[in-house]
Amino acid sequence: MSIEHVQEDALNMHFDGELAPAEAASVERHLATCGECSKRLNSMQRLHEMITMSAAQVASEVDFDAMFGRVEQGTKVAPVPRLIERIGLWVTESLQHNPMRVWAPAGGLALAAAAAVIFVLRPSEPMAKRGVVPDEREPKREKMMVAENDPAPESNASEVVQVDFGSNTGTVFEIALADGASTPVVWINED
Amino acid sequence: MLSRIAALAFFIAAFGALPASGQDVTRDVKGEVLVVLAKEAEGPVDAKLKSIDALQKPPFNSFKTMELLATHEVTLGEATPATVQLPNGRSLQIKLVERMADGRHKVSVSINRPDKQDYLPLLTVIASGEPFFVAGQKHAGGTLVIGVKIAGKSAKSSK
Repeated sequence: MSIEHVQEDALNMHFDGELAPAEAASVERHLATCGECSKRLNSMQRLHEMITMSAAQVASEVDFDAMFGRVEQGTKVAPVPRLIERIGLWVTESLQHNPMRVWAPAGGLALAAAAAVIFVLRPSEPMAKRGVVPDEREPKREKMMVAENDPAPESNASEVVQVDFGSNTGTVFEIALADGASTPVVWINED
Repeated sequence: MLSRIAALAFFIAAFGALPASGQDVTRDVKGEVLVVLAKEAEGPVDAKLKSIDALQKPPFNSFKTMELLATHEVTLGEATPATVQLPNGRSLQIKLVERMADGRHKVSVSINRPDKQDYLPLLTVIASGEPFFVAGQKHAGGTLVIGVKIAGKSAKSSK
């Protein structure tokens, strides 16, 4: 006649108090008559007691105040590096391991800077060169008034300082000449 | 001796107070008005206009035909505006507004219909001797291009 022992999972759940009342009662009845299963349960209890005692002992030996103090001290000793230092470190490491990660962005930045300098320093183009040329098909514009008494004092060129198109519309632009001078043009858009 | 020095100083002061010849406020101002009929159709370009740099550039270079209809020499005085009759029946009037200290001249230019005032643009231009243009009026299937050159400090000829 074979005896059916309590399975390991059911014994663990019983030890943890997780079995339903009817199952727990059935396990208790078996344990009362089965020395082997009672022995397994006692082993679980001893192991649990040893782990609990060991954790408590270790915890009692740790000086948590001193440990947190060292952590705080460590954070003060090692501040977060500045951005320039991080960039420098990144560049150094990238140059060693993957140079293209450095030279590609650096080249792009150089090109962008050069383009910005050219854009800022370029001579102003006449409106006609920018494609702003009179076109009778374009919609009517409001009267164009140029600020009076606003000529460039050092300019040798002729310049339009004020325009009233009356009942018409039009535009004012300049034509760049070969010698760097420019010629103003007043263009009337007749209806 | 002292009186001679005083007389010399007075002479120099009096001479220096006179306007320089280039700033003679009473001298009339010379100018020139070119009236050009421009068309987009293929055709001849007047030889006199080929030397004007601005007419060889956009937007004027889109005109394939340019006919010099008239050239007017004008004289502007303090109270004597110049009037040029345009082929479309309107008149172009140029008035001297100011003789500027830098040798340029501020002029006002207006284009009027007969018995009308300021129907078309009234513009004020500081002229340096380089030409400026008033264009866009329709005439005879083309566009009138009016070039105005008022003598100024850099009164060099058009290219």
